Amino acid sequence: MPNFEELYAKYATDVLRVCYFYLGDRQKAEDVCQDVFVRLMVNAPQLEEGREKAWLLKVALNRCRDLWRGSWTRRVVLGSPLFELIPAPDDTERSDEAEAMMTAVHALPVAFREVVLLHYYQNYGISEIARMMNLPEGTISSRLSRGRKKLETILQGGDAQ
Amino acid sequence: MTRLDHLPDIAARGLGGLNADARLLGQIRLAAAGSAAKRRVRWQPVLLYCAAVAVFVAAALWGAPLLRLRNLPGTQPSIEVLGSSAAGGDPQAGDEYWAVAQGGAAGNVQAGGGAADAGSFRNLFAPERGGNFPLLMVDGAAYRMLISPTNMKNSLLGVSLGEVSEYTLEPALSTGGGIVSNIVNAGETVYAVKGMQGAMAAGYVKGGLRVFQRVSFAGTALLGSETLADTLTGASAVTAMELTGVGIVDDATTARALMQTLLDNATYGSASVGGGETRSLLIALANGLLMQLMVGDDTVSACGTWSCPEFFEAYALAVAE
Repeated sequence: MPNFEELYAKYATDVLRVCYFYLGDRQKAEDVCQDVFVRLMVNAPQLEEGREKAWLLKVALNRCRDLWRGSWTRRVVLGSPLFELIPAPDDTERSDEAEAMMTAVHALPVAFREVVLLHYYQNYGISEIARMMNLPEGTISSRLSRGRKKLETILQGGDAQ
Repeated sequence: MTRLDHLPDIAARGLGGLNADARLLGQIRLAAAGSAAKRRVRWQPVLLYCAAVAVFVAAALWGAPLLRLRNLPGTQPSIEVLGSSAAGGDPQAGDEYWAVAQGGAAGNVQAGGGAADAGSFRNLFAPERGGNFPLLMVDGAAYRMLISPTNMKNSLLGVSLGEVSEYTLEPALSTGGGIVSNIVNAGETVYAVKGMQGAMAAGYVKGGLRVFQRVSFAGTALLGSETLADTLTGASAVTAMELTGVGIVDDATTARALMQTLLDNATYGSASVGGGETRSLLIALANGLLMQLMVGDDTVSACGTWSCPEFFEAYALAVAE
């Protein structure tokens, strides 16, 4: 198994961005990312070779879900509907369409947001997502399908809730 | 929905400024050190209890026949029986001992003097081996091995400082110059850590590139006209600090200001490192590495002991704010 430093170098940015995409709060995303890698460092779990990133994302999403479920956190810390992009400093070209797409994904109900992030953002297949989330593949397929419809509704100005 | 298929590209640009950097890595290492310390603290009473039971049973097993021997008229106590019971085994046994240093990315706990608050003193230095800690001596400057990282990134490799010319378990007795070590094999190249020459060095130990921090050794701390900054690092390299028992400062600007306060005001006390320290100051650097200073009342020590009440006052204020 790669050592801690290698895993951090390869996957920490992806974990951080998924957390930010999920939570919409940079500080909270960093906290979750920190929790995930502290757990990796302290517990040193035996990770299946090639599935290290899946483990990291699974732990991160569980933590994000816990945070999101906390009503105080959701209302006070994560309550803003605005999703702010964090482009690289040298990237000055602004795309309204891209911003709308990312804001819409962030606005999806969490059950759909998770599968959309894993499937479309992190390129995991349905069976792998099912394994990560301990859910039947049919449930994942269904959530992806419904998530796409909800996303369309949001992009057209509707409410997905 | 074709636009969703482009989500990786869209997000790569939209979140291109959000990266897991060395600052976050430093925070993770700080938190992991704290977490490991708490876990070990929970186990300490159990281990102490087990050790006490083991000692009691061992004493009973050895002591009973000895007492019987003593009660026999004209029979001398068997000194050899007592002398051959080496409790705990040979401290230089090697692999098992070093596994402690090798395995830990996280910190461990040392209860200084036995009565200290074990939770408030964390030790990122690799443990001693038969009276000497694992070290490198480069032209008279000593560097002690840290338990983390277990394999430093190659990108942090600085210039070669030379090869280990002597491997010895008694580096204090070495009379040769050059590079001496009791952990890095003879012939291995020793490197500076990029941007930290004088404060840190690196060398391969059992295949992993281990990091060593500048410390006092055998009554020697500073060399020539060195200052505290030469044995630590510049304030600009600091991103976070934890003074155990007081709190964490993870705002980089504040941490840099605190480091500058320390560098500006610390006065040199002695080459020795007190031994009465009950706290530690962990310093996270922008390159992802951690350094450690042991903390006394108003002193910090690693390479010599330095007094700096101004630093502790500023730290307390920073944590309170």
